[in-house]
Amino acid sequence: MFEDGDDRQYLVVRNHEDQYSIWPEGRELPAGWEGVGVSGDKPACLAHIKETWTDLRPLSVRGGDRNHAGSVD
Amino acid sequence: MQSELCLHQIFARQAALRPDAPAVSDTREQLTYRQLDERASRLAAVIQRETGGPGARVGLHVRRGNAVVVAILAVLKAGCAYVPLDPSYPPERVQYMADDASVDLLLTDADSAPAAARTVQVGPGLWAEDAPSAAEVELTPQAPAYVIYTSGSSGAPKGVEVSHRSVTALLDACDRVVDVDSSDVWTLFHSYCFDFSVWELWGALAHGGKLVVVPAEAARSPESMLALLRSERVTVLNQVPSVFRYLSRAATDPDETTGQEPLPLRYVIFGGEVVDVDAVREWREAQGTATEFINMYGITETTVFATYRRLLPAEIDVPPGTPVQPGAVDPALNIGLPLDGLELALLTPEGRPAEPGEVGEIHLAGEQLAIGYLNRAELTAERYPVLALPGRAPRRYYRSGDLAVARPDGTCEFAGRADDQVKINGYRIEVAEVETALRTAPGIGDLVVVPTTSRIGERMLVAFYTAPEGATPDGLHERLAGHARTALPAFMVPGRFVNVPLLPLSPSGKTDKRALAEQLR
Repeated sequence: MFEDGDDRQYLVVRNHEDQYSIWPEGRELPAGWEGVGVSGDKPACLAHIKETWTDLRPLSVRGGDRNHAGSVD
Repeated sequence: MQSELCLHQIFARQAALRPDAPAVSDTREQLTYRQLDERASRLAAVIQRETGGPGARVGLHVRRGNAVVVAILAVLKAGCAYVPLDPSYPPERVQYMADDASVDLLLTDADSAPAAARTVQVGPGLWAEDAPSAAEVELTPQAPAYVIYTSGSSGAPKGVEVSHRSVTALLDACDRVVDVDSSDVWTLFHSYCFDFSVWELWGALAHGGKLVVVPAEAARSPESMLALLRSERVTVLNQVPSVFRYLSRAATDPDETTGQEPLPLRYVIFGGEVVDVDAVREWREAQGTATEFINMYGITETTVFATYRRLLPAEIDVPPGTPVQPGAVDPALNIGLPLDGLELALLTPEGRPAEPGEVGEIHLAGEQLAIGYLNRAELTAERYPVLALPGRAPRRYYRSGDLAVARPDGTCEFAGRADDQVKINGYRIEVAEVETALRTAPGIGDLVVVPTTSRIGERMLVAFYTAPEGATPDGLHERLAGHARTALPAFMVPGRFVNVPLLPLSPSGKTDKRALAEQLR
């Protein structure tokens, strides 16, 4: 009953911590979030997020240590 | 408030306060807070040396015992995140998790350790008196503390990455629900692959209490577990209701009650599934009414617990089979109110908050939200969407897939799943994941898995399979059952395997699982 079956258009949005979400196109953007210039159906937006959002940790955490890439030598 | 601290710093504070108090015991050996701290600091030095320091992921393939607690603390002290790889899980699944999390280092003290970039054998040599201790690292509480795997609907388990801050938010919130201090004795009953263990471990250590690591044989036997509760004088016990049912049955045995003091339990905390009220009533009849029972609802993605409800004596101590009056609270299903700091929204399919009496999907927001699904950005964005709900600032929510009915008093009544995830013994299981794993068994035609309820009310998975066209099903049953045991953890292995000539189809062309379930009756 809660499955999407969703043919709406979405925007890819991002907040100040560099976390990503999708947002229905045409609705006012949520405060604190900005569009990244990508829109499309849900799978297209999620595919873009998959490519772009490579470190899920909030931006404030990423600064200090090196990225987790297994490059420990 | 512990929000500025990392978990290992909270532990360090307790170790400084009460160095000689018992911290952990696996019934073979007991460690004080100082001893546990020293061992963990020495092991942390090894982890730092091997990984280069903060930010790495460390797989823990350590047998049940004090070493599990030492290793978890050591990983956190090194500024790293642990990935539980319980050696009691099947090697294939352990290897999958180690690979998926791309662990930088593996700590093991067990056989058949998975392959990893680096491996260190864990043993007393690593924390000998003359071993160096780790230097303290700078770490923000927003940094990841662990990655725990949960069942995935796509057919593969997925890792949930959780920060120190999410766990301290949980601890702060639970301080308002359970009143515990350094005199309390907790059990580590659950596998450290199951996030119930996070609460068990930190509930004890953050309060200066003692943690008893339950030996595997006691965790499997209700009688042994009762003996342990008595001998260790356990005061806080966390249980999945379907496991507690057996404990309650054993605790009501005349041999157990005759001439014995009631157990010193102060709290029994339920998580993972609907409460078995009959088992609670029987326990109270046999063991007295000094124990408080609390029902917690939660999900790994929002850090162990999300809501709580205290069970009231008046609703437990009614004759068995008494129906719940219309409009009254159902103590089995009511999951109460959200923990402090968590916002719970019940949303209808149209995305508006459910009115009293309506069903909605549970959405949660707050500090307890996990960082996300490790290396699965698209799934994270989908399950943790930003929502702008009426009268509230936009924020990220976790969309749980759990359904509940809104009640006029503001509490929620659990109403099942929005998809085909099931719970068996408190473990989340995606049926699709079990099917995917079993379909790779050689010589199987087609296969589906159907959740059923046995005559005694227990949830069980049943696998229905066909032989390939033109083949006979001889020997298939054994092959399939054997494959299931190597490919899946015990809790995911179907309780029955049933050969059928053909899988029936529903009018829509999908496998008719209802018709299959009917065949069992």
